[in-house]
Amino acid sequence: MEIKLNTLTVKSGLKAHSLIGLFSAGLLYLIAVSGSLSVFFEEFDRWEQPNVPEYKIFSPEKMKTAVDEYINRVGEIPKSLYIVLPTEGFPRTHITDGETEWYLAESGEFMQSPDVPWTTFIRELHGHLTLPHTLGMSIVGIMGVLCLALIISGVIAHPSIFKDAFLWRVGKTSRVQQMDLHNRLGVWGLPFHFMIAISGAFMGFGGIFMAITSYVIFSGDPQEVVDAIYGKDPVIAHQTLEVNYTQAFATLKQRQPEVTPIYMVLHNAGKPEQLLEVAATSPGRLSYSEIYRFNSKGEWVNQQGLINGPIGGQFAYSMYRLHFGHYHSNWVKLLYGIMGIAFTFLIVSGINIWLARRKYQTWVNSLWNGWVMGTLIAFASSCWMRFIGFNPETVFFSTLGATVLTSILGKGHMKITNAFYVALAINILLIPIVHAINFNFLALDSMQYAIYTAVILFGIGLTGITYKRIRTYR
Amino acid sequence: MIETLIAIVVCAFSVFLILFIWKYQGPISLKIPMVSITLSLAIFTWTYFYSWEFSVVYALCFIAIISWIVILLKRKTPLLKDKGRPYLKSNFSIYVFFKIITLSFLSVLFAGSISACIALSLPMYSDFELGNSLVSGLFLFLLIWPFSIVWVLSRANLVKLTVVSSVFAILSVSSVYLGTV
Repeated sequence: MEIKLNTLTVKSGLKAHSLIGLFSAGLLYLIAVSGSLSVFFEEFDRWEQPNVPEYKIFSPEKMKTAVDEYINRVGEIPKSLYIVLPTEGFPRTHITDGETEWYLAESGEFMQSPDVPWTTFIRELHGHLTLPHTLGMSIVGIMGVLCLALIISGVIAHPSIFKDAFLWRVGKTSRVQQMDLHNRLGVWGLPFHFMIAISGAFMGFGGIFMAITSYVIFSGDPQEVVDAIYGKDPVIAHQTLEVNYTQAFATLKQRQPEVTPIYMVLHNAGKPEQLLEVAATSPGRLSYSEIYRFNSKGEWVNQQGLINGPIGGQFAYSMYRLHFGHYHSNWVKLLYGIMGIAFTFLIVSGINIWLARRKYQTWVNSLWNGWVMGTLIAFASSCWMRFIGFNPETVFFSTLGATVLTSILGKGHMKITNAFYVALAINILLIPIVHAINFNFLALDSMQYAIYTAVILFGIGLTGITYKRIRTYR
Repeated sequence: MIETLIAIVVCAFSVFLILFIWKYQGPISLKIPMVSITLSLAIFTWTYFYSWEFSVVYALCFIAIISWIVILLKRKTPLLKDKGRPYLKSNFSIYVFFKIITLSFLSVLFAGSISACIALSLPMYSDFELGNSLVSGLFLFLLIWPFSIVWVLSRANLVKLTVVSSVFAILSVSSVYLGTV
C-alpha cells in the first residue's frame, strides 16, 4: 500500500530533504544532544551543587526578611525581585533580581549563590549555542524551522510511509539498515519531533518577531507586543509601603486552592505603585503559570489570564513546558529524554545514509564521525573537569575541536573510532568518581543516587560495547 | 500510577492492533479509518485519566516508543557490521561546498522574509482579537517558512523559481508597507 505521489515530487522532496539535512545536521545534532540533557537541568543543578538545603515549603512569613536582606546586600532596590519557590522537581528556594542570586534556607537565611557552570553551559548551548543571545537564539530558531522543513520534505520523500511502518531490514546493506532505522524513528516520532521543532522555533524567534512586529504594527516598543498577547500589568498607586506576603498567599489559597505557587515577584519595591505577583501552576495545564496580582496589603487585584484569557496568549505561554517536558510529574522528563535520544539517532542515521550511499570514504566521513563522537566525549569530559576547576565551555569546545581534528588527520578510521569509544567510556565513568571525591561522598538523596546509577550503568554498558567493538574491528 | 499503567497497556494494545491492520491484506480505504480509530482509542484512554493537553503528548510518545520496541523485536537477523569502505582522497571542492552553503542560506533567508511578510499581514489586516492574531501570525510564519524552504530547494527550474519568488516577495513586502502607511 503506497500513497500515490508523482515520482518527480518524491525525487524533489528527497533532494530538498538531503540538502536541508546536510546543511543543518551538525548544529541540529549539537542542539538535540544538549536538549536531551537540558530536559534534566533541574536534576543536574541539584547534583552539581548538592550541599544546598532542600525542603518542600517556603513560608511566606519569611519573605519580608529575605527581601529586606537582599536589598541590604545588593545596596539598591531592584526593579523586580523574585523569590523562586521550591517545587517537586527543584525543592530549593532562591532569591534573585536576574543579576545576583542566593539560595535561601527554610528559615529564610541566605545561603550560597548558585554555582552550576556545567548545567548553565548545557542550557546556554541548547538555548543560544553560547553565542550572544539574539544571534544564538535566531540560529537555534532557524534550526527549529529547518527541522520542520526536514519533517515536511521527509514525508514527501517517503511515499511508502504506511507500507514500511514496521519494517527494519537488517543484514542487507548498511545503507538499507540505516535508512529503515531513520524512517521508522522519523515516522513514529513525527508528532513529537514536530512539537519540539515548532516550540523550539517559537522560543528562538519569539523575541525577534516581537521586535519586528513592534516596529511594523506598534510604535517600536516590544513591550507593546507582549502586552497585546499576554495582557498589561495593572497600575496601582497610593499604597502602604509594607508588603503583606502572608495575606497575599492566604488570599491565593482561599481563591484558587488547586494551584501551586512557583515564584513570587515584587515589582517597584518600596514605591507607591509596587505590585506583588504570584505565579502558580494549574493542574492539567501546560501553561508555564498563571500570574495572580495583589496590592501591598495582600488584597486580590486580578489574574493575568494566562490560563483563561485569549487563546493566543495561553497557547504561546504553554510552549516552554511543552518543549522541555516540565509538567505533571518527573517521569515526563524521562519520556522526553527517551524521545530526545531517538531524535538524536534520527539525525545521525540521516547523515549515515548519505555517507553510506557513496561507495568510498573521504574526510567528510571522518568529520562526521569526529563530530558525533566528539560531542559526546566533550559533554562527558566538561562535566567531570568542571569539578576540578576547569571552565566547562572551554573544555567542551577544546575537546570537540581536538576530536574532530584527530578524526580528520589521523590514520586508520576504525582504530580512531575505537579510541573514541574508549575515551567516551572513560570520561563517563570518571564523572561519578570525581563528583564523589569532590563532595567527600556527601550523604545523597534519592535523586542524586538516580543520577549516579544512570551514569554508572551507562558507563558500564558503554565499556561492554567498546570491548565488543574492539574485538570485532581490531 | 495505576492510571498511567492502564493507559500504557491500552497504547501497547493499539500498536499491536495497528500491526495487525498493517499485516492485513485489504484496501487502503479501509485501513486508514481503522488505524485512525485505533490511535483515537489510545488518546481517549489517556484523556480519561489526565487533561487533554497532557494526554495527546503522552499517547503519541508512548505509541512511538512501543512501536520502536516492536520493530526492534521483530527483526530476525543481527545488525550488519560496518565492513569499511576504501578511503579516498576527496574530490569535494571547497567552491562547490560554499556554493551549496550560500544557496541554502539564501533560500532560507529569502523564504523567511516572504513568510514573515505574510505572517505580519495577518495581525495588520484581520479583525481578530490582536493578541490572538499576533500569535497566529507567528505560528503561521513558522509553518509557511519551512514549506517555502522545501519548495525552493526542490525546484529544478531556477528561472521559474526566481520569477515566482520575486513576485511573491514584491506582493508580500508591498502589503506590509501599505499596511504601515
